[in-house]
Amino acid sequence: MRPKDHKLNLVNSCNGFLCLSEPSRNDPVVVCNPITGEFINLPVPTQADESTKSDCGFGFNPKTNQYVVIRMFDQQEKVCGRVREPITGREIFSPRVAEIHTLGTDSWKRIGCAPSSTYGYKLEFPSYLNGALHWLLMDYNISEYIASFNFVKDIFQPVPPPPLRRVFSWPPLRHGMISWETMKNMSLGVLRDMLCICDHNSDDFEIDIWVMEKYGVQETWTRLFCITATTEGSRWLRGVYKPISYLRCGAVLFFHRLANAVVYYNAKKPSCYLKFLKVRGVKSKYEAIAHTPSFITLNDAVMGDNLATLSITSRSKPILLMQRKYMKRGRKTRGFNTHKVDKELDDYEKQQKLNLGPSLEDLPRPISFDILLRLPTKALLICRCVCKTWRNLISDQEFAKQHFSCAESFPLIRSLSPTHIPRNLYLFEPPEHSSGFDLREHCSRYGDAHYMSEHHFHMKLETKLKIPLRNAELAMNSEGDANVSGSSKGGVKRKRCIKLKPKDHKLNLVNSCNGFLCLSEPAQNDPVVVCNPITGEFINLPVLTQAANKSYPKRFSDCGLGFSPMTNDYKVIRMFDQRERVYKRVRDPITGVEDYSRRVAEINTMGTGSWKRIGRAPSSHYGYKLRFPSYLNGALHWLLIDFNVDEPIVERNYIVSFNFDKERFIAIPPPPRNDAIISFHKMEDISLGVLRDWLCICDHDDNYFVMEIWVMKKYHVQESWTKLFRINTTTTPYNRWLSGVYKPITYLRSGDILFFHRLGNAVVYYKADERVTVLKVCGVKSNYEAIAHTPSFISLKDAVMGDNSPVLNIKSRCAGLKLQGETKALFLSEKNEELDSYFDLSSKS
Amino acid sequence: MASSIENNNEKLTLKSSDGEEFLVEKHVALQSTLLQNMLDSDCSSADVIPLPKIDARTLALVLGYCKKHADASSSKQGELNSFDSEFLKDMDMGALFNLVLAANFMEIKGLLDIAAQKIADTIKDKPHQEVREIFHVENDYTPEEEAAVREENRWAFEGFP
Repeated sequence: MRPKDHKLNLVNSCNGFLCLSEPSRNDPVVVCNPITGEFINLPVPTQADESTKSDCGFGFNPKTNQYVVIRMFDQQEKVCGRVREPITGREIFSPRVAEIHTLGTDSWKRIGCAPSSTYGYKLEFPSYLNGALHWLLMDYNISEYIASFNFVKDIFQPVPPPPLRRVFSWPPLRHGMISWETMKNMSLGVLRDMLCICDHNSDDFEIDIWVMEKYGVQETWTRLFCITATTEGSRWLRGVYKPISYLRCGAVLFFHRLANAVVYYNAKKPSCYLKFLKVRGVKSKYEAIAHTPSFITLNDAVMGDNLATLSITSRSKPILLMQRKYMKRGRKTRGFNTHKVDKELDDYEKQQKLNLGPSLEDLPRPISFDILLRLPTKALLICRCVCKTWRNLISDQEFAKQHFSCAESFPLIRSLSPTHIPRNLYLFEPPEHSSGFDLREHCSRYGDAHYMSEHHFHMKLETKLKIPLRNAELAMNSEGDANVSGSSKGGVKRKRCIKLKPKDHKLNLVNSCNGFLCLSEPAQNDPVVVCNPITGEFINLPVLTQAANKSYPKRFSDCGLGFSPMTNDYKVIRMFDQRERVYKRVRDPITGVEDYSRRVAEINTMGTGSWKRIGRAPSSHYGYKLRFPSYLNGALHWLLIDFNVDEPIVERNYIVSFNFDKERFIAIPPPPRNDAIISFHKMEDISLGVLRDWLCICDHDDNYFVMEIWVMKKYHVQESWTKLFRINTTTTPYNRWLSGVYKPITYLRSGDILFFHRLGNAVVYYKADERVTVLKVCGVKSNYEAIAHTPSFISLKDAVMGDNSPVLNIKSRCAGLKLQGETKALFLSEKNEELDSYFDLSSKS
Repeated sequence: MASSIENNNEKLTLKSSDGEEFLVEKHVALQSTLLQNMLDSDCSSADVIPLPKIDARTLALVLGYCKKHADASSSKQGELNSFDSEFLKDMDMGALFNLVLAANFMEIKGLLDIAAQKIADTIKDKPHQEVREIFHVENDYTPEEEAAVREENRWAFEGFP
């Protein structure tokens, strides 16, 4: 339905009845009681000058017990002589006349000249009180600005105004007159049977509330309240405060049109300041009038035969529709029942929800950043949803940079299920503040963490990040099929989980560098995608120059993502066996061995569309992959398992690095060891990682029950290798010790170190000089992997320059697809039984 | 710090935005880098130092914090920590914001730190609707936009109604 045809304006309320007008001319058309749902259509009014709007209102004549509607309009007949304007007494050529209609009759009665503003303003704030309707007459420099129409005598009269305080006014005004500025911010209403003038002096941040205690007696104007800005701590809103109600509890309610808020003021309460209760729900502006709800039917109130009281409820559907539409349009009446509201107001007090109090936006940017930077990733993602300002704040490049510079790295855990496509990566963020990673505290703080009687830690991994699928188009097609067969019940579309082949869609997790992940395709481990799982962006890497040589023995490629601080470029490296035969011995850049290896390296500078060959790559004689790709300091590092048992360990370079600035392989001197010879099995138990800004070697010796954590405090300086911790596994209380590789993940600010134990599928956390706790990952029946990852809000678009690599976003593509097995939650659990299976397995094997 | 203890009885007057004056011992005032710089430069301690951005209520809180930390600078950290958490306990958002602004203006790092952390802790673990209410932020998303932003990280809202 069109608002033009069906909308009605709200004019005023009198004794529980509302007067409604049609919006185009503001002529009164309906009187209704919104509680009983009755309404009366008013007779068609006399023709008026079409170019101007009418004023109208509705009141009660206590003498005759009749309800009367008044309408003021510009008559069509020409005005030939001066007439006396009834309020100001000025003699003017005004075409403005008034008509009244007594409810129950069928006609309008002309009663002569009506008050009007010289400047064509309408009469504001129609307020019924004491047998008369009152308005504010918006005019310059007049003292009779309160107009009234007395329904008993059928005459217009000015009401004597209150003695407003005005400290200063320029130019000086004659006594009793008020300036335009004052007029503009003034409002009229009725508070507890007293006419009320609400004088808002926005320059001095003051609202004076005047009431006329005895009707019509100027001397009884009293200042009820003076609300000043200094009485409170909240913001001051300019504009008109329309008085609505003075409740029994002593609170005053206003409506602030510009803020669309009900304003609550209680002088009795100790914190007596203005509270803004915003009206919400529909995206629109709101209006409000004072209304006393009444169950008195129009039938009883209005006498006369010419009356047809209709009921909204009994009428046909279109009317109901209209009513609904009318509500939807946002013309909301807020009725305040003085009988009921007292109780409700205490709730308002409690809520304080909509009080325009402090806001993060009010704080200087460095402080709001400071606050946001203290939040974990999940909270930040939620805060993006608060409002646009917050979202922009968090998406801000400057914020992202600051966030990254102080972010810690955390374990990013993923299921290795062979039958599913694990797109979800679970970031485990240990609680940061206070005493660090205190499990006890954590258990009690989190609702869903079961703090069991045995003091076992159990926590849901909530921070779930997504990586893209390899073949999005293929997946989208399958989704189309799924949707066709998927049922939609009751309009709610239920997405069916779609089944995709891991072979086609799975991506392997290679390494993390500055918040970005390098992903490879699983068949050959060739790098294909770089993504930021926080922003959901990803870049498909350019097509490889050539597939790896597939002849026997098949070897996986090695790859990784790194950053060149010198050129500010992200680069991906790929090492593979080239197809061409090698006829000349080539020197291995790390071990120095000369042989006919086909192993070569290529790099892609992100943003360019091509791969660049950079020559021979280091490789293990025995076909081992380069293990533990770890980015630090402009270089990617790996462990190279290439043993020669007889060779003294000090001369052996088992830490390989590729420097992205120099685009060269460089051997990193390993930490000193007591035993000169490193066995092959030994080699397999060593792991590499980055703790804080140090390269770290984690050396685990099952035979001696020790684990040593070495860090290189000064990059590439062998002498700076320092033993950070030595964990004696026999003295480790409480938990059984797992044999196998402990991959160092992070050294938290709190002093705790987290490892990932691949065979045990567990996050192992070590509190310095205290116990070791094994937190088993569980939820899906599969093995798990984990890498260290520093969450970052930095956009790939800002990080990668160049036109050759469009930045795609998983969220705009396949994120909505539900894949099989994706709905399950992952947990970290300290429960020992969970680990038993591992111990059983390891003892059998 | 030794010199400031010698000047223990030296006092200066701080004036809040609403005109209230506070008499503070110098070593307490030195917790504020702003005041320290003022005292180090020409400003005579006899003068009243106006703090036009800080109202009396907030200034009283700030000085309470400074006093505790100045007096207890040599004593146990644990005691101070418990004072800090007690200090901010039950403080409403408006007061916290004023405190953050005051700490920022007066350059009291410790106070800025704990107040900012307290605000961050309030945001943490809360659904966005609640955050809106706490910070009186008007939601300027249309329902569609909000759903879209929400959908981007649906998991984050799991467990919230």
